[in-house]
Amino acid sequence: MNVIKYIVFGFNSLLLFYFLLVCSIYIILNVIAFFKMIKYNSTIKYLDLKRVFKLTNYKPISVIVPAYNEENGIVESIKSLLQLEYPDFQLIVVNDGSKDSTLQKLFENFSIRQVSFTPFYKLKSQPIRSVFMSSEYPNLIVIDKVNGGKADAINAGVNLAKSPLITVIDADSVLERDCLLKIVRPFMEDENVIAVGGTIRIANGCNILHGNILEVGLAKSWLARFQVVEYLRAFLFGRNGFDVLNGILIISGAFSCFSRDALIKIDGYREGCIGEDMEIIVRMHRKLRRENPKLRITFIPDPVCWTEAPETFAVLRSQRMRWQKGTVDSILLHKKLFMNPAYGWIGMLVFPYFALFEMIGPIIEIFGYFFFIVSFSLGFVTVSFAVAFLTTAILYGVVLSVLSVILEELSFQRYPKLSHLLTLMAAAFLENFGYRQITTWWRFRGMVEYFTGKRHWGQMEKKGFAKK
Amino acid sequence: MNIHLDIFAFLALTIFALLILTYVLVIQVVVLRLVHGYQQKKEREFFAVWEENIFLFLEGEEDPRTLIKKIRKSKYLFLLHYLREFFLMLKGDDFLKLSALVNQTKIQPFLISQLKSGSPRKINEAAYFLGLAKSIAARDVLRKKLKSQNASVFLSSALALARLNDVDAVFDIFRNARRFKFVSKDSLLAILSEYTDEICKPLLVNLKREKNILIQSISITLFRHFKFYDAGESVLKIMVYSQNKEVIVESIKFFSSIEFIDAATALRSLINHPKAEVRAEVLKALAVLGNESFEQRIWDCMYDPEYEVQYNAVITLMKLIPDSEEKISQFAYGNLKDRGAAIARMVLSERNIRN
Repeated sequence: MNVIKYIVFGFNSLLLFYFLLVCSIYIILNVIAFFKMIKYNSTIKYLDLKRVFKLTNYKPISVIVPAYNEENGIVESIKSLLQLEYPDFQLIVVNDGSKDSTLQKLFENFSIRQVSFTPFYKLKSQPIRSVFMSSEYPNLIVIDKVNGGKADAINAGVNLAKSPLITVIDADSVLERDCLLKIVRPFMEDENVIAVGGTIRIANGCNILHGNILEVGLAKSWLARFQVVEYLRAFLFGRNGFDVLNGILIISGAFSCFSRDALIKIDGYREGCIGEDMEIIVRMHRKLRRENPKLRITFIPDPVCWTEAPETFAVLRSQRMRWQKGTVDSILLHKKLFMNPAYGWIGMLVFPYFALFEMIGPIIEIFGYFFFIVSFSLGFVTVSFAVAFLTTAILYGVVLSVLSVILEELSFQRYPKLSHLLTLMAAAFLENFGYRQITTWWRFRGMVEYFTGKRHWGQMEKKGFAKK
Repeated sequence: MNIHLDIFAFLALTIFALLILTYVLVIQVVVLRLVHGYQQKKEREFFAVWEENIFLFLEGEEDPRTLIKKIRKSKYLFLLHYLREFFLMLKGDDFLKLSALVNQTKIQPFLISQLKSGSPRKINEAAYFLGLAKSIAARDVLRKKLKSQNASVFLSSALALARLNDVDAVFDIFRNARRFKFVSKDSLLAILSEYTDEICKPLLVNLKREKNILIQSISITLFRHFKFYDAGESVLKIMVYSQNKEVIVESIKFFSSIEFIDAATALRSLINHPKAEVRAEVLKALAVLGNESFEQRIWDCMYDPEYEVQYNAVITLMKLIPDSEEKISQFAYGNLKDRGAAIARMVLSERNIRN
């Protein structure tokens, strides 16, 4: 009996160590991110970006918006995108074989006419039926193509993009007016930058009119509020922290900016991939940074893009399972990077972190909770150990979530009311009691589905901002 | 087993302590937010009371000292916050009147004393308003602040000196900027473009012996901003010998902006530059500086491997050569499989839709 007790105790101790390690890594990232943000804010504060862009040798941008069955929001979305502040950008809307009236809406609202357009590059994509330009908005181009999915639509857009920089955004994202001015700065400051991501925030509860955020607010549902805290944690110190090591492995598909040459060199987005936004970044590290380690994939902490978060369990479950499948897919596709010293920090630290904590993490956590409960009920662990385990697994998480809200308050302070701050603090506390465990369970299920062959995308319903 | 118990208890206690520490931070953050909210409320109340007096002052002949005497020292910053937009908008006599509210009253010594304080926040705020009001009296203190170890103090002081148009401080700004890794070309340009065109002469004198590529590039950008024609010859010499893409591109843009015809011959040799960005920029400049003798070279660029160069070749031909559109049209639709012709068709298509 004693032997079993020791084995169970040893196993539980390993699980405890796992939780301790993952939270401690986040604490370190938090500290790194804090200093990075101080530096970033003190630099950006004295920059009148519009003035600088009048002077400098800015790079033109092609903004690619893949659209599939977006008839409800496409007009508002494009009108808002056309108002972005940037001296030279073209907007390429790719109608990815929509079955609804997306293309018709574009005809009706933007005076588009067919033009002769030659693809400049040859990334793989489904055939393009026609290319249109607007006589009203000279920088608007519409591509109508056979359906092939998001990655395919982006590739088609890249083939026709005129500018050296490519920004990819989701049709239902709400962008800050000066987001292009901000996202382009790293490319201008450092020629080695090949991709830049920005912070994504949750738009639920914000007052949005014609695709512009009029007033930042918080959603009424706690489910959306928990996601606000999650996004703060992921973007403000997760990505910021990894950025210091040039270790960004994922840039959100809702808003990302690439050097066109880099995209062409790696043959664009991979078709049929579940998590194309992570896969492309990992591939950039694998193919391009191997050749030239000076290349940078970086991140700006400014909140540049707002997106709608799911407010029902069913939609959130579907989203999280899809994200997990994407993570697993990208990691397994590029497993060569794992503990490979040829890739520096990425191979030896960041990729193993993602494999261990992001990919396998849900299995360890779910198994850990289960094993702990069983062994505690059978009296195999002491009260002292139980307190230590629960403190590490839950309260350490509270510390991290609360710190992310504090970081937001000390840096961007985008939530204007004191009540917002207090609600976020409450959400940061509460999300560790149930919400986090449920999302872990969904991620676990996502993994199971991935390995049992169910690798489809699933449905993602959104209410949309158009009528707000 | 007892040892393990102690370790686990210690671990739990450590995390509890961390949690308590985090919540102390939460309290601090909430208090800061409350204080900030209270100050904003007070500021709004101040605006409501003083708005009319300030407008009367701007319209009338009242002595600025009389107005400021009525305002308590603790409210000076409220007043300055209110006046910030006016400082940025007003020009000429109106600006002089507004700046007298700072420069001829007790606000100026108040701001200078803030500038001498040890708090970066106070220094930055004081530097900002002294710069906006063009307070020459603060110049020496601001120059000393350029040597600060704090990047934000350096940046705010440099910005204030630029707004004071203190031309002698330019090279101190360059020198001290090198100490901070993340003070970029953008940051420096944002600051230096606040100077008037008086900055160009010393920059030109310096450019003749300057080896630093960043300073070369910033100087040329500023010459373009101020359309400083006198720098044409010197920039041409730099461009001819420079290996740096950014310096070359900036130079080409500068020549184009001042229509410096003497650069056309040098540009001809850059048409074959290994960097596509340079080739594309040369073509854009030739649309302004070139002549018909360049026609064949530009036609050749339609077969450049890079799209930007091909595209600009078509555009430049259309701008530079009279009646070229017909010739381009024949080329575009007579060679359906040719890549250069495809680009030409696209440009013609774009033009038709725009017209």
